[in-house]
Amino acid sequence: MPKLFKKKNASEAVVGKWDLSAGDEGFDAEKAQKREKIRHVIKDILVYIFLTVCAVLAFLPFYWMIMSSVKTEMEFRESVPTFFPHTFQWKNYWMVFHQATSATSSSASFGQILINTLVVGILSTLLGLVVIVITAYALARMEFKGKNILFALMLATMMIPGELFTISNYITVAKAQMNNSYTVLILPFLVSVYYIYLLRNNFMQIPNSLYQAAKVDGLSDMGYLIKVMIPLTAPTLISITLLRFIGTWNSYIWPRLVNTQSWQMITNWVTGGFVDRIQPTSPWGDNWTLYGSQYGSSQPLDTLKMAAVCMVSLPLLVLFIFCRKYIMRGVSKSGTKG
Amino acid sequence: MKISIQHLTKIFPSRTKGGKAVHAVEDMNIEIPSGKLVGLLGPSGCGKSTTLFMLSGLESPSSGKIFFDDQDVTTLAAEKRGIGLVFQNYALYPHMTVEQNIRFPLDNMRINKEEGRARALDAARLVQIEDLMARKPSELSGGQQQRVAIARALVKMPNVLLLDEPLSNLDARLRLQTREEIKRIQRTTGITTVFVTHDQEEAMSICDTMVVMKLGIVQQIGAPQEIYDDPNNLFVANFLGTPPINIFKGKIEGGKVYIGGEAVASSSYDDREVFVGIRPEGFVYDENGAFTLNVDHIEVMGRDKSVVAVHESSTKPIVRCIIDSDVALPADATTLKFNIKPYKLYLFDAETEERLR
Amino acid sequence: MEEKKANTDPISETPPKEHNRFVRYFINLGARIKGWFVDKYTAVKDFFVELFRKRPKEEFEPEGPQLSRGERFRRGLKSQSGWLFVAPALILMAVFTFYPIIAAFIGSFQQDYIAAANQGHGSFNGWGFGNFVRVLKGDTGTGGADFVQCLVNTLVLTFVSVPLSTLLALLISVALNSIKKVQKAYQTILFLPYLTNALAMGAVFATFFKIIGTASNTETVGIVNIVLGWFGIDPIDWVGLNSPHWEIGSMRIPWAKYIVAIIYEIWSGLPFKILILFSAMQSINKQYYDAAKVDGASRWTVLWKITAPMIMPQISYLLVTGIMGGMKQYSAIVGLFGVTMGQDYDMGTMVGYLYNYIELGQTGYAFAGSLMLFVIIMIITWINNKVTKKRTTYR
Repeated sequence: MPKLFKKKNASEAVVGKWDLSAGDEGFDAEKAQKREKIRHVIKDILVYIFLTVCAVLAFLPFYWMIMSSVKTEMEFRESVPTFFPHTFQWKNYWMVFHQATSATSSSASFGQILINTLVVGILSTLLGLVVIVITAYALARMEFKGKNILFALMLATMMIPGELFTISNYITVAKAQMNNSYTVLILPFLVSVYYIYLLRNNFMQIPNSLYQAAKVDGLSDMGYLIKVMIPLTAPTLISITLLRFIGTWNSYIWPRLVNTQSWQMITNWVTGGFVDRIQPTSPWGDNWTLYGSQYGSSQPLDTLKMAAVCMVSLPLLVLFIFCRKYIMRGVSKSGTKG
Repeated sequence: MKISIQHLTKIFPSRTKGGKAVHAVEDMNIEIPSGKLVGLLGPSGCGKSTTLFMLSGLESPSSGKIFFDDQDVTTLAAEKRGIGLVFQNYALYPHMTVEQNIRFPLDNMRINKEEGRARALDAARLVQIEDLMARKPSELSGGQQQRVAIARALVKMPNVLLLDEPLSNLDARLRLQTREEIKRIQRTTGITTVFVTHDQEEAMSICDTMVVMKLGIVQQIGAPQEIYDDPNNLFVANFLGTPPINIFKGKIEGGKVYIGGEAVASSSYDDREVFVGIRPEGFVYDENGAFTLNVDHIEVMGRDKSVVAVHESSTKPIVRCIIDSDVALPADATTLKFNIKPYKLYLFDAETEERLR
Repeated sequence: MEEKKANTDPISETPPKEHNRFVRYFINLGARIKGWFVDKYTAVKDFFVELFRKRPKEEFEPEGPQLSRGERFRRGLKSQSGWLFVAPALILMAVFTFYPIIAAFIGSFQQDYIAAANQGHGSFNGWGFGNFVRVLKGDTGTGGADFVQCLVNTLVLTFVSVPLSTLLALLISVALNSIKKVQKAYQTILFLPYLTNALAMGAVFATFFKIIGTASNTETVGIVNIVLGWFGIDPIDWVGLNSPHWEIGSMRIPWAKYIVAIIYEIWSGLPFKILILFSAMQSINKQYYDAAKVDGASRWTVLWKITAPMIMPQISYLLVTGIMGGMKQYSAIVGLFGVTMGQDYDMGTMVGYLYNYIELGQTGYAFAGSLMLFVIIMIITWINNKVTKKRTTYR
């Protein structure tokens, strides 16, 4: 019999001796409540201050980017930076729009680069999705010899850093003389083992009884995939689509390696030095420049660069605002950007 | 520790704008004597768990007061009330061992290690899990987890022990066993205990006092048998008892209670429409009885027989009568006649559904 | 709830024999080792048994009449039609994944391999470890990046920024979790930096730290230097040519650039970590907090004894993925310090090293470097597994 809880006699039991009067003489409920409340408010204020500081710091670079992109270069270089532009110089954007990736080459305009990025982005996303879906389906639902070995082999490649492939692929592409084409930007990245793995698991969660029911109803494998599985896993598919497109949009290394100027992607374009060059076709008259010859043609202008950065970054922010739910979902699941 | 609840009310603001606020508990008044085991009983959404959480201090009441003995604890924080709370899902910390779980409250009270260990072991012995101290909760069965949760609640020697649906996560066999266990622990420790349940059988079997609630309003308070024998209203009568009470539409006319065309009992109330409630054990077979039922079939269950019948005035699809097994019933009878034990028959006003007293 | 042991009465279970702590330790250890072997053995065995099991016909086709040979063949073919589905992925992977792995192993042992840019017909000069030796010695004779410098940079940046940003993310998530109003708005703003182009935002960060203007006109000093000026600190050329650094032997420690890169990496790494930690905290059953409150735990105790252990799996996941990502960082550095990764590649990273040598046409060095990167990542993965396994066993 445990000693701490033993009854002394039938009427008097040992229970805790809790002092409910909160310590000091004369428990004043209202006072205690008030004290508690004040403590809570102080805590809340501190938390909100902390979060606000973090949020401001998180947002500041975006604000700075946007504001800098419409400042004049003179204002940008003032020794006390202005928080809000005196004059809005929207011409920066026009200048950047018509400027090539480097000062010495005039072959790739922003328009060309944007078309490249959109074509590659859309094609590689769609084709990639098809490959991912049918592969994941076969691995999840179909029986064939060697399936497990194949799957294990695919998963094993996830352990190896992608850079290892890039070098050989670079040589392969060069040997096949595929440089400067959309194909070379699309093909090597169509298969994503991680997304196959993710989708396969999603497919596996769909109960087998649904498959049997569909078979009884006379649906083929393909029909089952299209009519049952794809609708059921739509959220994951949307997340994959978005993340893949973002990944293509952000791709930098591979396009730089295999393609030259006019075949590169939008991120490559940003690394160029944007200078105050003569724009013969400007609506402001022939041989128009922003600052005359105040800044030499070898001196990159930060305001122009910020305009370029805005043009690359803002579409992603807009995409995020509209597809927040799916992007956050996909991100928390996969932990990758594309 | 005596608990008294005075005019306790809890109103949850509506989630949507312009929606109706939910009155989870309304004007509750209860006195719980020291050292008793009290059950809060009612269907889901009746406010019983809200009441429990207000007692624990995790929810604060919208108005009203709670006293432990003579101390007003209404605004006292949960950790200062000296209560032990056992959650429905036990809420055992999955990353701690059983011993760490039980000792957690003591560590927070800055009780030194040795005493903490001794008290944890005592509490574990009380619920008979002292052999499992080194395990993690995931390595325990549901019943064992339950015991750990109770030990954790008891280890700080609380004034009041609160249990939220303590048996609902256990399988049927374990439930019976644990029921007795809770009763035993409560008797041993003498701690005032309040528990919440939706299972009337569970409440009836172990409570000293039962509080029946519906939609935030207390319907009746009393000893289980008392409430069963003397329900306040149709809801309470309906909620208690297995098999449930039979309810008929009837009327009082000239001092007689009529169901259909038959006068089944006499009554001193004024003429009116009523609901007539008859407990299944209230039927006495009599060839010349006052009440006729159309027999559907008869179930023999050893100790007694159960006549399953239909009646046009019944509010339920079947009428069930339980009769001693040694009463001989005519074979193949399609109708049977019964007399009604007057103390097993209750009259409820057809409009208010309150008991006619 | 788990009911697997519900049938064994907890009361009647015989108590285990009392051993002293020493004996108990060895009994447990023995059981653990045995368990480990048994687990591994059965897993491998099951895999092979499953693989080579002669599948009875009825598994695919429930009993039916004797089939004609043609029909049997047709069905047999159909049962292998899965290959048709995986064929596109398989072909692509064969060309762009499996082949490159083999090629990388072969290529790294081809000494002085040079693939002429845009042509690809490489030449090499015998087999051996020459590539590895030269990469490690920094004796590539091309003026390209230095491997040891790149390795040190990568390790420093990764092992400083990842723990820091994880800790900060934990604090922010706790704060976010404790508020009720405008939680969503904060969450969204804090998530914004995630969706940015690492390179583009790197360029923005560089402008914060830059000394703007030409070398002759240094009175315009950039926003960070201005803020430092308020505290009486002289302007520092954070990212430019005169960036301060220490020299240790032949190696440069560009500490100012390190600080810039680390700040940028924390900024860009936070959103993902907050997302993961915050949603993990949100999914902790509220009852644990109620229970802790009843048990009288202080806010601090709740954080360290309840919240932190419960999100340990996520924390270790973040550390692992963060370190993996950190080992492969590159575009952020390009954004901050330009395509030459600082001055004479003094901010080079491992991946930057590889691309540097690809672009120089010295593919052999790139191969050797990539293999070493692979080995280093494997070692870190292995250590991570060892460490995290201990921590997260309760799930």
